[in-house]
Amino acid sequence: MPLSPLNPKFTESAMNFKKENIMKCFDPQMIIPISRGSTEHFKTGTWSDVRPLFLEKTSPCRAGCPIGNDIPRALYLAAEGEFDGALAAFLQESPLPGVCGRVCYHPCQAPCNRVELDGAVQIRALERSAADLGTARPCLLTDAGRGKPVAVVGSGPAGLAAAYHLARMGHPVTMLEAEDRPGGLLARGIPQFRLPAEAFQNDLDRILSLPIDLKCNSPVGENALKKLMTEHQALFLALGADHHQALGLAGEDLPGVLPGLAFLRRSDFQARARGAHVVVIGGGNTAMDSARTALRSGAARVTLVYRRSRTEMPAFQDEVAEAEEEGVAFRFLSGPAAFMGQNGRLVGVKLMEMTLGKAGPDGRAQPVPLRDSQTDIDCDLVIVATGQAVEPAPILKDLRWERGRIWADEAGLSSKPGVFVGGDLTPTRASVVDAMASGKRAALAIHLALVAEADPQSLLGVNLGQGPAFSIEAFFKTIPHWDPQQVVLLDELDRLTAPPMPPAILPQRDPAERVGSFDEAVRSLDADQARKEANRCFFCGSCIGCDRCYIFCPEGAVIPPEDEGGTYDAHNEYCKGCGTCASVCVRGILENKEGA
Amino acid sequence: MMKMKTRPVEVLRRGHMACPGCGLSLGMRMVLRAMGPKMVGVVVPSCVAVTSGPFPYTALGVPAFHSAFEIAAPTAAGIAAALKEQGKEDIPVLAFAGDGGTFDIGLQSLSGAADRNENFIYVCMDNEAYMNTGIQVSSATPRYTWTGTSPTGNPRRKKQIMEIMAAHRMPYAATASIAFPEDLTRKIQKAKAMRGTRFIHMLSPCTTGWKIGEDMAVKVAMLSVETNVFPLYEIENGLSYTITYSSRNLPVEKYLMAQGRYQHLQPDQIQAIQAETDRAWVDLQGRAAKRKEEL
Ligand SMILES: Cc1cc2nc3c(=O)[nH]c(=O)nc-3n(C[C@H](O)[C@H](O)[C@H](O)COP(=O)(O)OP(=O)(O)OC[C@H]3O[C@@H](n4cnc5c(N)ncnc54)[C@H](O)[C@@H]3O)c2cc1C
Ligand SMILES: Cc1ncc(C[n+]2csc(CCOP(=O)(O)OP(=O)(O)O)c2C)c(N)n1
Ligand SMILES: [Mg+2]
Repeated sequence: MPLSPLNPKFTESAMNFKKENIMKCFDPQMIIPISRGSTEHFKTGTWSDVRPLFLEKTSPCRAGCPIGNDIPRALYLAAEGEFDGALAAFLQESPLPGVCGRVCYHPCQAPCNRVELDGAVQIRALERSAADLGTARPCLLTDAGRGKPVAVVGSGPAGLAAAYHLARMGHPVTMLEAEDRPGGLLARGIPQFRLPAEAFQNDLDRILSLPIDLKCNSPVGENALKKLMTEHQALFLALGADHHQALGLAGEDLPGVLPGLAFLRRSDFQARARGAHVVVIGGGNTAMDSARTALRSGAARVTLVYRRSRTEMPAFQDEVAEAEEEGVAFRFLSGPAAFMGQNGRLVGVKLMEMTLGKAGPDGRAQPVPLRDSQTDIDCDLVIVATGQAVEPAPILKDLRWERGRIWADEAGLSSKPGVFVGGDLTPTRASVVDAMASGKRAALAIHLALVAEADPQSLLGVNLGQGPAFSIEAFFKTIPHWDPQQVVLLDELDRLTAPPMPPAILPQRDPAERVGSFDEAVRSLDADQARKEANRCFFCGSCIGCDRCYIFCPEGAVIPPEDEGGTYDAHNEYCKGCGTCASVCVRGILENKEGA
Repeated sequence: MMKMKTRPVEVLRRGHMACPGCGLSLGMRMVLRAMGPKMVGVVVPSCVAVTSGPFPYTALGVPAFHSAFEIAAPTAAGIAAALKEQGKEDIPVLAFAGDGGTFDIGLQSLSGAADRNENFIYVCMDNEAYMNTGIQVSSATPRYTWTGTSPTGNPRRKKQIMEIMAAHRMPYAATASIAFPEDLTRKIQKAKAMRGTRFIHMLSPCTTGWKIGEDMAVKVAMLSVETNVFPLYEIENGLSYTITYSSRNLPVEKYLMAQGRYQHLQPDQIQAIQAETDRAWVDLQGRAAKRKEEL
């Protein structure tokens, strides 16, 4: 090799005017030094002992979803137009995506990391798209429940979810339903304009494709219960709470005063709203649905009377807004004192003004009547929708009660061994998704109790965030590099990396038009709109292979995955530990780990 | 949950000597990835040369010439001329230089080369001070900015290099940011496909000199664009302006307060920076609009 000019011997040899040395001068290496080595020689990884750690986490939407839907995965697939896959993702945790995609109160959307940027991703609408556009079938989790039959009483969302997951764990399931059709309040309560029968049927068909023996017209009494107990290894009771609670006021027995649920269930009652001024008493979902059903039944006017103010209304916000758009008049801070009749016919209701006092045992401000504040309003029909209670059925008499509901431990076990309970029967929040969540938890608890080798403690390992939501999929399939308890919270700078994209406007029918029929009030997003909306998702906590960590590494030290489904890694011998990869990961997956 | 993708060849090698989290070395990596391995590079004293490595090692996976501080442009012009002589005109020449080497000491030679429309791409890695020599003020340092030689804040405003380059009516001049790699890649590839003098002005956050966290270069670069402090645009033939990213118009305070070098700013100074940023942004939009009208 020729000498470098930096070498002291260079001058000496160049001065030696031999021909070959003169020729050497024309070698570029003799004129100017050339770096032929690579900087890869420098193991710059020794500069720091901080290294990126790849760890997937839970998105705030998923931690906020009582049934623990893997929303980022479902939305990722929906964004790709793969609605089958999106539906399959929902079906891992929830049997009722078509129902929840319409009527869920979507607690997933409030904590969305996009809220402060330009509004939450419309997760509920996308769940609906997945259910409507996808064709996935439920899959089995394990067959370990084989030969261990379980009976489920009641086929509302709690019973359906329990039966669904028990069947997915291999248990033979018998489901008994008192009425002529399954679904509980989904089939006989929530009205068609919010939950069309076909949408529920679609979900139901999927559930019943599993080996579940559904028996309708089978009310379970004390004897039947005993028989069930002997023929099955465990029982799940989800009888709901649809017992009407009378107000105990004068005139309540007038024929013009109807219970809310009965009004929703009976077309002959609905026919009486035609041309009438209808007064609805209550501020929950039954009240809202009754008011909107009355409008659709041809009521001249509907007034909803609620004894607290708007913010205390237990009805879900979307429905309150929709009722208002449709022309339901709200009268807050007033309650009925008596119903007035003439010749056995209802003619009006005496109202009392209220003010909000101290918080009651349920934490809500108690309404206090104001003295001398009575007003009479004329009306033709009153619908009392002030909440339903658990019917004190004989089969429940041996169980421990708690404030009008059946007591259960965290896993859903009642005071009686082998008898699990869930849904509206228990003190959980009265909603479809919370009812399903109690059914899912009880299903897994039953499975663990019946399959000896399973450790009930292992359940805690799949809690999402702080719980109680958990992933049943993850319980049976270990997911590497994932800490379900850590929830991804993005800061302002993280959010700014996403281009502005306002949420999709949900296709609502015109209020004036929609009160003319029982057709669904809100339409589905079409496939393109759904893809676009799903693309707004940050996919918090889930690696989607966006390459940002690799693209933005100043060292080129991040190693992208070679195969689909692989994870990112780092050339540790060169990583200087700057943490740029973690800082640019908008899904919160990479962290800086000292001492790695 | 990911799709397979093909990734461009990596040209900048690992083990380079830039500080951890260096925005400039990241910018070089992005530019070189966009150029591809068939090119000749020029580097001059600056953090560019720190990144490209100490003799006898190089981080540049392409043939490159380490020239003198003030002559990145004529060096690139000379190499391009030599390649042309050899019939290798298809090999592009790209020079990297710092803001000191561009705005200050190299301005005359750059202007001469641009005036002759020599055939090369010039990328100014602007970290807004003489950084590798220890953070001394340059004519690229913005007003009120702390540097080692402007300890109470730079009294002068930042020299408008893009306007100077545009005044040469050169084929192509563009700003680029490490926070917007797609925009950056598109501009480099567009420049690569052209002939003549092409200029890229890249704001390169310096974790040391800007007093920001080692993980903050990309986010601070993003804020510079989103606050219009460093808008992304391109100028063709020195006249037609196109804004290539519509920013979120965030207040400049977000950008300034993310950096230690601005912590001493008084409210009136922030207001003055905001006012100047707004003026320049309106001016830029006006130029871009004028171009649209002409089309
Ligand atoms: C009008 C209305 C609107 C609502 N809207 C919404 C909404 O928009 N979103 C939302 O999330 N939630 C809504 N809810 C609440 C939600 O419907 C309930 O919380 C949920 O249905 C409770 O499910 P469950 O399975 O516990 O009970 P249910 O749905 O009540 O089902 C219980 C089932 O058990 C059967 N059963 C009872 N006793 C026996 C027996 N002895 N033997 C056999 N079978 C028996 C019943 O026939 C019934 O089918 C609404 C409720 C009402 C009333
Ligand atoms: C003619 C000449 N003068 C001074 C120097 C010393 N020197 C080397 S790099 C440098 C500063 C470079 O500043 P800039 O161009 O902004 O690049 P940065 O280090 O900030 O990347 C100086 C002054 C030199 N190499 N040559
Ligand atoms: Mg500099």
